[in-house]
Amino acid sequence: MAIRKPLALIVAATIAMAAPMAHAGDRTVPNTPSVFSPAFPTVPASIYLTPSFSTIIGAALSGTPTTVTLTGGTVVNVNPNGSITVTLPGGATNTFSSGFVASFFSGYLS
Amino acid sequence: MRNTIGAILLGGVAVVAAGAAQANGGALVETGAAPVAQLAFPSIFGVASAVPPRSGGGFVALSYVNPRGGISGSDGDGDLSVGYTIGNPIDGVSATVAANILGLEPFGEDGTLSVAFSRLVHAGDNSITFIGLGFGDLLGWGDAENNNETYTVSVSRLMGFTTAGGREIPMQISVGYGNETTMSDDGRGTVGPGAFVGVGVGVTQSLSASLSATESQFNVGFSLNVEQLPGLGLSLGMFDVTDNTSRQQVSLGASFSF
Repeated sequence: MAIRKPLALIVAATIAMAAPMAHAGDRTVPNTPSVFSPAFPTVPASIYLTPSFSTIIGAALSGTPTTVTLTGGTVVNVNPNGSITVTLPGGATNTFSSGFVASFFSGYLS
Repeated sequence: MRNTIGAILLGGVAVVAAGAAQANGGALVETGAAPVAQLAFPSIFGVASAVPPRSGGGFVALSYVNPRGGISGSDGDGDLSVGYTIGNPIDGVSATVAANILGLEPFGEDGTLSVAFSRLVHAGDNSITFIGLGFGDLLGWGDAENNNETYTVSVSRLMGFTTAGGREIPMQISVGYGNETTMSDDGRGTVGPGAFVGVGVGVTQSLSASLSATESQFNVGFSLNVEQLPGLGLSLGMFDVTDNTSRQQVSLGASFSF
């Protein structure tokens, strides 16, 4: 009994000291070449939530020629041949054959 | 057991990719007045991407991995990151800053900051390419106070491929280099510099699948956009599927963008 009590105290003290040191600041995933959480790669999909993306991908998928002016002044033309021309406020233009790429590009320009 | 799960995940990638090709390239594609829906964003699990989130948006990302650090016998643990993005990567530079809690118990005692910059470097006919520079383990607190800073340099291309059936499949390829990227394969768990690569593809409206690799391991993962709650993304993946570095981990993640 006299031995058990100090032993129990030592064990309890060891656990108490070890618990906060359980990970000692190490990364939970030490072998991933990313500076963000493993859950972060889904975050850029937030571009899909922008009004620009949904408007332009809708027009592109419908195949209807149209012109959309974004709030930042960017003008997006869905052309009769299905391509999409994005004109930045500064005058620079980019023409895409991919509706996904054009919409994603425009999502940053809302 | 974990190798079995890895084999299942790898097989899953093959099956869903084949299924997507069939569904998107043949008779299953819708035609007529109703347009087909856009497929999911092609996330890449396990390596860095230079594709930034939208400017003016924040996120909360919670991850759980088992075992912690990939050390067999350790319990599972998780991270919590909260971040925000500013700047326009199209004609400027985008910056994403995040605070990371390392470990859920005890919560908040240890953590670091991360920052990543991205910029568009090329816009082609069916692709856009970003270059990114990220720094991690910055300004650590608690037991992370003395962690060495990490960095990654990456180039990521988003592409859209149109199938014979007329449906467009989004794809992402990311390649890069980092200073703490390659886990040693001798079981000692030391991490050194090296290159990495990853490929992701949108499979359905809400699901994407990816494969990625460093110089010593393969990773496989899936991402799911929850349509009922816009902004919520879930992920399931495995680091070091072949257990080449003896640091295999299963990862579950949830992120919410706002």
